[in-house]
Amino acid sequence: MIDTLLGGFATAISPLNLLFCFFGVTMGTIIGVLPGVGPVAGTAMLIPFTFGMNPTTAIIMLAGIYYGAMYGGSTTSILVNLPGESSSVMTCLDGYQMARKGRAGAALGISAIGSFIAGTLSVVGLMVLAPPLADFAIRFGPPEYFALMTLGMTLVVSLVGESLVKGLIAGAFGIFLGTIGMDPTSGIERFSYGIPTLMDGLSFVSVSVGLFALSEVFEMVESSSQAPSYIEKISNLLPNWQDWKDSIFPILRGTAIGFFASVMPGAGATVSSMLAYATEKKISKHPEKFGTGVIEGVAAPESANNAATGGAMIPLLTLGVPGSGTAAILMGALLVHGMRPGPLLFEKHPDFFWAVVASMYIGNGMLLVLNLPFVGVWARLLKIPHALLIPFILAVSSVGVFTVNNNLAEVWIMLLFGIIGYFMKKFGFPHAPVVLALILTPLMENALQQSLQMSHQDFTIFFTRPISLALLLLALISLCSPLVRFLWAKAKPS
Amino acid sequence: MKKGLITVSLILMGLALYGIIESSRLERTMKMGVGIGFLPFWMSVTIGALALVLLVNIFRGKIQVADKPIFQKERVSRVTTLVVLLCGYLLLIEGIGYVPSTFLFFSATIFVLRRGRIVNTLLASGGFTLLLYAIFRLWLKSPLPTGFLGI
Repeated sequence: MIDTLLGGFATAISPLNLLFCFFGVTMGTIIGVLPGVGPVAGTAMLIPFTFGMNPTTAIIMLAGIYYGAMYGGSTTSILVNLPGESSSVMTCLDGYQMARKGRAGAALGISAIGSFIAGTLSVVGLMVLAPPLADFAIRFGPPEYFALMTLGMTLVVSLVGESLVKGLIAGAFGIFLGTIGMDPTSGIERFSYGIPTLMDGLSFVSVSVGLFALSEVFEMVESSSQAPSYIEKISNLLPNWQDWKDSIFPILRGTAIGFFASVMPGAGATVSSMLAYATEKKISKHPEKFGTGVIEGVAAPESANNAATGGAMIPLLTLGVPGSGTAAILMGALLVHGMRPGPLLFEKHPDFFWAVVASMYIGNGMLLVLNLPFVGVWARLLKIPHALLIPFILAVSSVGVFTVNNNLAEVWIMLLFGIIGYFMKKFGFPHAPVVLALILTPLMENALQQSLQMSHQDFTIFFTRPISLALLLLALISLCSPLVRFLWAKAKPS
Repeated sequence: MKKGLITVSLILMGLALYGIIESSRLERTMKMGVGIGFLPFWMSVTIGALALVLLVNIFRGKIQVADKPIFQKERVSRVTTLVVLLCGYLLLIEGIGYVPSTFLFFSATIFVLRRGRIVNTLLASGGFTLLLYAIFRLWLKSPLPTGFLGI
């Protein structure tokens, strides 16, 4: 393992990879700081920038955006009481209160250091767990892959969003969209009506940029275009001895919670940070102080959301099932660059995996340097009025999507899905299941076809193979869990 | 919001019906494996069934809905204006080329959103247009539409 990791470092420290790692983490920090555009939308928008790069460099940059956004999100949470992205919501509760008491520096400092420790430890976890999991997954055949993708989708559907029914509708809609285009087995068109753009199916870049970036911009337009006011006085970024004493165990606990929670598809950085905050409050000797400006309330969720980035990469890289919305976008990017994530990625491209792992160590180090002394610079970004930010995001999205295939029709599709995404937000339908289903459907359909060819049209193949059966049972449990919780709550004596 | 959700449920049922009709024209079964109509058919049925469940839950009060309207006239008009401007940008981009259409889009959008000084708006628009041109054309070497003006 050490040899392969050193080989990864040798690739990651090439000048080109270092430059794009730095670019990625910087863009991630900016995306995290600016409320409105989250890491999912930001990563989707920047995929067109990676065409022409080799796959390793492209994923190093995009992964940098992913974990960089976690660092950046804490800045607005602490200084403005406005989360830069959803996984920084919990940081607002105590981070802003600390800033109001004149301790913004300590909050930002422990947030950056905790994020660095958590990010680094989660990469260690990725390095240790991913290879044996990939070895195990080599035994998977088409039925196991079909069952695994079904589990991935049911977990995302049941954990994301306010309602299971709405999540299922979003997932089913995404699967339906994934069937548009030419069927690869028979060559027969489905729902494309002779339109050349639709014959290859809907581009996930157009759909994801529309659903995530454009819908966010439409929501931004609804609100005031004035830049929010923020606490400008930031001093003493390095935590003192008492801050360290109070934070070190929340950081370690947050790291463990964030990492292991995010290994399961569906529970991304947002759920991890909420779990970590709730845990710290529960075990604290003074839970009543949470929400008034305690440093544990910043250290735990910030560590959890950074640890979640490493954890989410495990199902993505080893099993080919994305663990979060951003991981789904990364999977799409990998497929666009001709790399199929899964256990065979380790066999065919081990250098790619270790280079990405090594770059995550380097990227976390860069982010610590960027976020501690330069936090004032990032805070100034908050002064950019929405009137300038909105057309910039729209223009970058439009031109970016256009450059994918030099096809303006795909930009119109992006706009259509931007409008659909806006209405979905308004009515509480989650976006992540749509994009996840869109990416997984061709793979799922292929696995289904191969499984039924193996079994001569016998569906029981999914239930007679133990791994496939176990995965499908887990999928059923995840779908039934809201009902079980409801029945349990009813049955409990009042 | 309740009316809106009911409308959405009905639209989803309509979409499901369309999906069922169109996918019925495709083969659902094959000699080996499933037909190309299998997945779209069953997903359409699923969407229809779930939309019906949603509708029932709304009428039974199981879905929490806010009393206030989720669409406010002034806010929706801002979003509509932005969508119209974006449509205009996409219609112009291949006609007059990337640079002029992007400049016009930036100018119009910034002016509509901020209504500030025209000179500042034009300067900001010019700056952003050049920045994006430098990124996409000069750095990434992406072919951008040039239109009849050749830029």
